[in-house]
Amino acid sequence: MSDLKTILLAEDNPKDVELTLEALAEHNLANHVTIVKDGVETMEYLRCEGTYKNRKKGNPAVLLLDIKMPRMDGIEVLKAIRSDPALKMLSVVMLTSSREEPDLKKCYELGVNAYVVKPVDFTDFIEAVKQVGIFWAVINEVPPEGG
Amino acid sequence: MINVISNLKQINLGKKQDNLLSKLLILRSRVRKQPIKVKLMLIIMLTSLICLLLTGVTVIIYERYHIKRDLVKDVSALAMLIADRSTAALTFQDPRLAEENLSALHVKPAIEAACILNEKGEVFARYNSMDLGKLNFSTVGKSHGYRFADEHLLLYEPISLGDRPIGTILIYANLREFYNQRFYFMLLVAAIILFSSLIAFYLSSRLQRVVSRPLQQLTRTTQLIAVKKDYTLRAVKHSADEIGILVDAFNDMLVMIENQNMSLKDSAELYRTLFENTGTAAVLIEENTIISLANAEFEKLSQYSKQEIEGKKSWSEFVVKEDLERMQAQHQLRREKNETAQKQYEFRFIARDGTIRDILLTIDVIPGTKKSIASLLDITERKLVEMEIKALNAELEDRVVRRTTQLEAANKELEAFSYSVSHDLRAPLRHASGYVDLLVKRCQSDLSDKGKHYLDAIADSVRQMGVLIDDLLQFSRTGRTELRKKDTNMNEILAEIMAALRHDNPDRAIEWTVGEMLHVFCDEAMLKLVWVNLLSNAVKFTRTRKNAKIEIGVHKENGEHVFFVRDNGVGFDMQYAHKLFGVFQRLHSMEEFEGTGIGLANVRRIVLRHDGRIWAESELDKGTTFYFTLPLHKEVKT
Repeated sequence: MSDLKTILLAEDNPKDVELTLEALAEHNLANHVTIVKDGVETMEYLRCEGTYKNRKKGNPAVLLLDIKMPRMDGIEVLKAIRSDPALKMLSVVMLTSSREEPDLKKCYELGVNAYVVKPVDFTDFIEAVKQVGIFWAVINEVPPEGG
Repeated sequence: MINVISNLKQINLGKKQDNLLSKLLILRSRVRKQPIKVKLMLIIMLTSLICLLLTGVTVIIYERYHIKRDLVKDVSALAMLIADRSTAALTFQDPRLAEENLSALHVKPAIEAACILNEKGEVFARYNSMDLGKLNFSTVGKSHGYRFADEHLLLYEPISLGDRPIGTILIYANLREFYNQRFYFMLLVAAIILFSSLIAFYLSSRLQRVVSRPLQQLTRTTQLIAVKKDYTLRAVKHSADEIGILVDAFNDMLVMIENQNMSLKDSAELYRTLFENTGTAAVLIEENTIISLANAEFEKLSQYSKQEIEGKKSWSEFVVKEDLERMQAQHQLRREKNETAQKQYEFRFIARDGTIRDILLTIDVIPGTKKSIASLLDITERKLVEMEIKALNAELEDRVVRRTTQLEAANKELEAFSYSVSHDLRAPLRHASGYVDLLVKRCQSDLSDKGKHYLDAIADSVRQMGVLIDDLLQFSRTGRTELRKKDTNMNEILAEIMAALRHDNPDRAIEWTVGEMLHVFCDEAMLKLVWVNLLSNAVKFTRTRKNAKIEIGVHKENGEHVFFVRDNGVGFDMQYAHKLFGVFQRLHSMEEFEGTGIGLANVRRIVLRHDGRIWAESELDKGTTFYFTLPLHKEVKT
């Protein structure tokens, strides 16, 4: 699984981070996960700026993006990604508690690749995260780099 | 020079002729001015006089000729008689005898002298001392003859013995008698003419009346009509001649005029009545802006009487200063090019006491004249009401805007609330669920059975809390989101839901009876929610039945579609029916039938938002029927 690409998880809540990582760990996907705490950090990571100036270049296989985050929320991040030529082809999956229709609509308008509501039930949650992780990090072919 | 003189003469002659001509013309024009009576008399008199004069002259000429002939005949008879007697005297050369014979001539006093000439033409005998020298004997022939000269008659007669002429007798007679006779005769004729003229005058003055009197009467009638303007008068017919025809024609014309007058009067009356009773103030305006006619409404409006207005006041006196210029411009336009003038506009009217009224003026020129007819509608009150309405509307709009803003703000708050509920309330639940699960998985060996039971209870509560939050969010959303109505096929929705229910309850044997559904104009997603709730309820509450029966149908009633879902399930006590559609209201225990108690509240909210009604009829242990209605007019024909 060494050719596995990174999963970038943007999530401000440490409990959610822990539970998500638990869920990914059940499917051996946890090691490839990078965590960013808010929208600003997400963009810094993606653009290799600030703390991430020296990180290995290359986009993650998928960005699991929460909507409600401090400073810059998930929808703003999505908008920034889609309007950045270097990032616009990045696979973005909204992973959020909200099933509010306006959010759904806005995200799809901005060209999100998938929208997943975190189920309250942990069993369901693990199943959902597993599906997402496997599909986007393993099954899905990433777009050509630099395109 | 000669030419000039002759020219002058001609001019003089011309002047004389002109004078005569002009006098004749004056006379003719004078005669023409005379009444018919005089003209008739003049004609008759002139004609009679001319006839009489011609007759008189003819008679006189004729009489004169006769008197002369008689005189000659008389004298000639005397001459012949004396000539006859004097034959012997001449034969025997006896002048005394001859003179004796001549003396017999004294019987005729007109004979002034006479003589007998002998064969040689010498005077043989004479009568009276007549100067025979005056007589020209040479003209005296040997035969019989006479001539008139110097107011005397000279007559000569030959004296013969057998066939041989032996002398001539000459008689010289004056014509005094003849002239006398002629004078008297002329006098007589003149008298006759005079007398006849008098008779003619009398008769003509009487008879002309036959013609002139009817004409006079006709004239008098016409004058009377002209003065009195009374067209009911009639001329009297006296005869069947041309005048009679004229009188008839005149009377016919009078009848026509009278009829026309009547209809004119009628139509004038009609228009006057219309003018007075239009219900609005109306005036007739002359070209010079003077009001020539005003109705009672205008009196009321202007506070002047008709007598004070008509023919005296100009309309411009009733227009407030600010509107006058525009009104005058319109008046000018109307006079010059009426089609371009405005037929209706508003202006402010100023009454006698200075009060100002808003007027809607309707004005137009009467065709063929320069007069205008104007009607003035007092719209003061209307304008006030309009303004009030405007103000009220503005206030209302204002209020609506305020309320809308308030509502929008409340809605936003609600949205924000439900948004944060959906995010922030679910997250801790999820975490609780996650950690409980992890605890069970990772620390199973450390947990007692009791501990495991507690964790199960926590997990169950968390799950229930999750369902409740989801249902509540759903309920809040059905209240807030905008309806997206469209033509919806109820058959398709039902088929879809029933398939899902069958799939979810594979071990249930339910007898479904579904009537033919229709197309309804509604929000499809919401109506789906209604059916899902009602049908899953029906499935849920027939769970204890061996032969579960669910019937779905629709019928039209009082302009509505009435849908129903009937089951033979456990039913409920109708005394709790009022609680049925409340939020978190449940009529069964969780052990019996699970549920959050939000489903029917949601259904009710959706039906109400579609202007429908919902209710239920039930009997414990027999079954329940849910009814809901949707307005019929929203139906779309397929």
